[in-house]
Amino acid sequence: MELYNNNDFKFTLIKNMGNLTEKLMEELNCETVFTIPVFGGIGVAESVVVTWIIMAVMVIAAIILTRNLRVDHISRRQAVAETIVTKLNGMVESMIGPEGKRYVPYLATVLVYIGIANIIGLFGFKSPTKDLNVTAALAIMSIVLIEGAGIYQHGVKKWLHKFTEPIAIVTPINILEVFTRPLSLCMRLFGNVLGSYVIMELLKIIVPVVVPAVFCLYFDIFDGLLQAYVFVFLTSLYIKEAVE
Amino acid sequence: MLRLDWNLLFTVINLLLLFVLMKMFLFKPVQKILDERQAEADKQFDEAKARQDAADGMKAQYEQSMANIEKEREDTLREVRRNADAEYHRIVEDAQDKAKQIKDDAVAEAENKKTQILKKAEKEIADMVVDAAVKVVGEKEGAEVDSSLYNEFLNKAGDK
Repeated sequence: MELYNNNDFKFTLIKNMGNLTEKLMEELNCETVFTIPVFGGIGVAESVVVTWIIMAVMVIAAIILTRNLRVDHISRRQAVAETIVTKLNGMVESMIGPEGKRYVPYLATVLVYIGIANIIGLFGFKSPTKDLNVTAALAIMSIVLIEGAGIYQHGVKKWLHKFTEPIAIVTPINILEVFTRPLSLCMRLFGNVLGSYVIMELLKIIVPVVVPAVFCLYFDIFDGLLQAYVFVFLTSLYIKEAVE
Repeated sequence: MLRLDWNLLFTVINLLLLFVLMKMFLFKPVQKILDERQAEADKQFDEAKARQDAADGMKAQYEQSMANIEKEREDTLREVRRNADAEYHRIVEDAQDKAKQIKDDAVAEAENKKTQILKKAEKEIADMVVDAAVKVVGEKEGAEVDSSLYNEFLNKAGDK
């Protein structure tokens, strides 16, 4: 009897595991939502469509919040808008320093975007940051911004010269950094989101009650926001270094 | 999951568009309002400072004029006191002069009276002498007359 039960349990577990792999693969695969019929069909991924949704939400929220702005006797809505902007700017500025002030709006936008993208799974969408395309795009834009800021600040000559600092022998490593930095940014974000997703799915199968809720707070909300912060923090740090 | 394709480009475009839209609809207007408020606050601060300066200036001016008034008052008081002193001395001198005048007048009057009385007495004496002489001449002759005249005079004078 006991043996039977044990076998039965094992069977269920294996069956579930099979299902899990299937389900995980399905969830992890970023599906093509529709195909643009040019160049033999360009598939538009789910992540891009969800990004559109996030963009729409952010822009509509911004428009609603910034209607009828006034200097004094402000509405509660305006107070919220002002608080959000001041806090975001303050947060990013404290990371990037006063010299990189012009890059604050972009970084703040990215911060909010990644933050929403990471926790949008709670609303039933597939996180865009689970798609390597998105994190790669973010990382590439970051490195372009970093190097662009360096060129803007110092000019091409000094920017090139910076690769040989502090001593000439580190030049290959400095050049390598141009590629490793975005790669690490991209993979860190992607890996964290993917990893937390996989862990949550496993947890849901093994202990389906109460426990996932607690871990969800950490993996979905805290880690999601933390990764958004880390991404922007590192980009700010690199920009700060580049404009110094 | 691990695929890199056109969607990377789409995401870049999406992010750039999102950045532009957020800047246009959130960061720019709010920053503009914040700047305007800052400008207004600065303006008010400047105005308050200007007002404070003006008030300080007025206070200094007021204190200056108060000091002037005080000085003027003291000057006037001193002047008045000096004038009063002069007047006092003048009056006293006047009074003394008048008193002296009155005294002198009185002395002169007394002298006058005295002279008059003396003149009157002399006249009376002369009359008495004449009377006595008439009497003596009437009674006696010669040396007798002379001596009785003399006596008569003496008597009369002695009576006086």
